[in-house]
Amino acid sequence: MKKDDIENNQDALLEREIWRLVKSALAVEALPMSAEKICQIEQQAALVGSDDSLFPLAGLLVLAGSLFMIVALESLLPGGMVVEWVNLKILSMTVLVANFVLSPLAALMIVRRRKFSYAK
Amino acid sequence: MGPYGKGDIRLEESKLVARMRKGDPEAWRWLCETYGKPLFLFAYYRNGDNASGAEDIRQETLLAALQAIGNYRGEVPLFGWLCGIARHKLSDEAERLRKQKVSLNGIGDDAEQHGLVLVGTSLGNESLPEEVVEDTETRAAVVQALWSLPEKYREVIIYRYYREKSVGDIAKRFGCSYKATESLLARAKKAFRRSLVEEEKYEKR
Repeated sequence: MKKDDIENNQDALLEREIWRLVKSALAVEALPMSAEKICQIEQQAALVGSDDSLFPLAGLLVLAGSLFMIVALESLLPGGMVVEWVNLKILSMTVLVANFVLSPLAALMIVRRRKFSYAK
Repeated sequence: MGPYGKGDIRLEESKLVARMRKGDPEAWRWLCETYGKPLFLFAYYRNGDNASGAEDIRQETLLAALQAIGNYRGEVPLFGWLCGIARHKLSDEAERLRKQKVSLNGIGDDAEQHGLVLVGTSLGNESLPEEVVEDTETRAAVVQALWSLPEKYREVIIYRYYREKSVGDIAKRFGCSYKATESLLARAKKAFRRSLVEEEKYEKR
């Protein structure tokens, strides 16, 4: 059998196979999603999106708080620069509260994201 | 270059996924409208031709995808990833029904009085003949392979093989030349075959 004939036969076989597979797979009329169910997905998506936007904000605030803490500690070191416009007590309290609130929030978000991991 | 060819589909999908991660309702609506029907078909075939079960699996899959979209890395097409979630949901449901069936066996004749309905046979495919089971799984694999293709490839395959349109008719519809359409069809068939083979390899793992 010539090479061209073999290739033509293989093409014809592939054509018939694809035709059979596609016809068989699409034989059933699929039910579309109802408007109600699509709406449910959209609403959930908006909630998930707003949750996720808090995560970088939480991270930024923790970072800002940590930087303030470094400045405050630096001012306490012997010979360190005294930053007069910083009230150390208020600064420390703010950083403490921020870290107590935001760190658990950030951790919760990480845990929630890891929980539903379907990555291949 | 991955198993699904050059990066076109991946670039489009990555833009869509970025919007989905931000919770863009329009992106999720597009996903539901584009992949809702094939996802139903996939679940239907894998669920032993159970339509109401497939409907539930589809909704659960999309809700789970909402939570897990942050973990989608793009190694497989988006629809393939959704099918992966659907498989997990189907096996969870099968396990739940298997346990229910086991506990019903314990109950014995009281099962009917308890009003428990067994649908485990359709999920477990236990009572279906082997050739139908295979055919059902193949159909699910074909659905997954088709919807994992770029839209243009999928459309040309559906028009050619499902709607049985001639290449000339498809060329008119797409506004392309006959030669260009023939070439598109050849590439689409190759990509479809590759996609199906990849799907079969994954199933056998």
